[in-house]
Amino acid sequence: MKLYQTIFFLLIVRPIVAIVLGLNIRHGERLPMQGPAIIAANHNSHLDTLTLMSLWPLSRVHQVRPIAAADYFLKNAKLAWFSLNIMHIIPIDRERKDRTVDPLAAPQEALDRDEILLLFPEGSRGEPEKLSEFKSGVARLLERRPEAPIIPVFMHGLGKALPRGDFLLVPFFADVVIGEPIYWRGSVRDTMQAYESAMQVLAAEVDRPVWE
Amino acid sequence: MIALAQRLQIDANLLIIFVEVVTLLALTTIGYGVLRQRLVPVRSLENLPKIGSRISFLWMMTFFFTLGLFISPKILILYIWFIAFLALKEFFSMTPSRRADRRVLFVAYLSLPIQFIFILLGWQHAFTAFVPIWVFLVLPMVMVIIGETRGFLRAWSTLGWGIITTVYSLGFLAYLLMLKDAVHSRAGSIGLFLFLMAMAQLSHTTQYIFGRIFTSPRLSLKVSQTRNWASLLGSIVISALVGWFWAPQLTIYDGFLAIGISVVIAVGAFVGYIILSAIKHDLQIRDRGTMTPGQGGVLNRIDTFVYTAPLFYYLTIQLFAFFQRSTGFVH
Repeated sequence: MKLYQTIFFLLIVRPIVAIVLGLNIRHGERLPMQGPAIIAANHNSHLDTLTLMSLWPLSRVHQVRPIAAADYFLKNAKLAWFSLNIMHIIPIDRERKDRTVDPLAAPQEALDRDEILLLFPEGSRGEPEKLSEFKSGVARLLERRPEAPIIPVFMHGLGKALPRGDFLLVPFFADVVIGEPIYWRGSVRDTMQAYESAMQVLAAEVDRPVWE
Repeated sequence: MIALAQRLQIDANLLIIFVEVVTLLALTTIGYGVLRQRLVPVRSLENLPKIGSRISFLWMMTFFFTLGLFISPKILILYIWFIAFLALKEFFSMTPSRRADRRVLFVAYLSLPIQFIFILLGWQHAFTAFVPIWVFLVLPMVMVIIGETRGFLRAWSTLGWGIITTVYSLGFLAYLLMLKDAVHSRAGSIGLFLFLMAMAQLSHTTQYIFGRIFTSPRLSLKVSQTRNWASLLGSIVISALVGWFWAPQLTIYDGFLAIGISVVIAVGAFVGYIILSAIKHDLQIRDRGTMTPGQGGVLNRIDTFVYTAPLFYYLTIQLFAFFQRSTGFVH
C-alpha cells in the first residue's frame, strides 16, 4: 500500500502542487522530519491535506497520518479505500454515538509509533479563507502525550483554488507558514491559547489580497 | 566558430553573438558570486536575492534558447507559454479578486492555451486580435452572466491588465520566433529573439548599475530608489552602442535605425520595470525572501518584456512593410 501512496504523490500530487498551484513556503526548516509531532493547520480546502503531505520527502510521507472524519471519508467503499490506503488517514468518529469509545485512542497510538499527525483544529473546512474557532482536541491529545509538540501551520490560498462545495480547481499560489513547536502548557486552555496566538502571528506573515 | 556554425547550419553572426551574450551572463554570474561571498566591500546588498533569481531565470532562458537554436524554436515558444502561465498565476494570486469571479479566472486561464496555439500555428492575425477582441468580449460577458455587479469595473480592469501584461505581451515575444526568417532579419527569427532578449536584459542591468552609481537626479518617482534619470540616460547610451553593433548582424535594423530600436528597447524596459514596481507598491507587496526556487517572482523577471516585446515586434513588422512599399527592398 505504501507503493500506491508513493506513486500517487509522485505522479499526481506533486506535479499539481508544484505547477498548478505553486507554494511559497516560509520557515520550511521547522517542519519535523521525525515523529512524534502534531501538525495543526487551518482548514480551507481538500487540497490542504495533499499540500501538507507533499512537503515531506516521498520516503517519509507514509509516516504522516491525517486525522479525518469517519462520517465523511468512510461514507462509501471507494472513498474509504482511497482514504485508508492512499491517504493513510486515521478515521475519527465526529458524531460519537458510542460514548464508551475513546476518540483519542487511535491518534495516541500513532504518536506512540513516532508518527506525525496531521489535523485541522477548526474541525471542518468551513467558509474558505476564514479562520473559525479551534476545537481543543489537539490540546487534549498533548495532555496525554506531552513529549509530542504541536507545530502550528498557517495556509493561505488553497481555499481560493478549491473551496468547499466546488469541484473546479483554479490555479493560485499558496502560502504555507510553519511555526515554532508548542509544548504542553499545563492546561488545555493555556495550550490552546498558545496555539491560537501562534496562528495569529503566522497569519500576519502572509500577504493576503482582498477576496470578498 | 564560422566552421562550426556552417556545420550546424546556423548563421555565423548569430552563433558568435550568442556566445558573446552567454559570456556576458557568465561574467555577471561570477560578479554576483563575488558579491554574495562578500569578497569585496559593498554599501548595501538588500537587492541581492532578487538579482540572484533573475540570473537563474536568465540561465533557464539560455538553456531553452539553446534548445530552440539547435532543435526547434517551438520548444522556446512552449517555455514562454509556461512562463506566461506562471506570471498570470502570480498576478491573480497577488491582486484582490472577488469570490464570485473564481470561475471567471478559470476562463481567463483558458486564454493562454488558445493564444499560444495560435502562435504555434503561425496564425498572425488570430494571435494579435485574440486578446483585444475575443478575450475582452468573452470575459466581461462571463462576469455579467455569473451576475455580480458590485465592483465589476475594478475586477474587470484588474483581470484585463493581468492578461495584457502576461498572455498578450509575452505572446509577442513568442511570435518573434514565428516570423518568416528571410524577410525579417539577417539571422533568422531566432536572431530577432536573441537581440530583444539580450538588449532588454542589458538595459535592465545598466539601469540598475547606473542607478546605484548616481543617486541623483531623482525621477520624481515613489517606486524605486535605483531608477532615476541617470539610470535611464546611462542605459540609453550603453544600449545604443551595443545595439548599433549587434542589430545589423541579427535584425533588419542598421545605422541610425539600429540606434533607434536600441533606445526604444532601453526605454521600454525602464517603463516596464517602473510600472510593475508601481503595481507592487499599490498592492503593498512585501519582498518575499523565502520563495521556493523556481516559484514566484516571475512577474519581476518578465517586467523587461511587458513593453519591449510588443514594441519591438510591431516596429519590426512596420519597418519591413515600409521598406517593401517604398523601395521594394528585400533582404
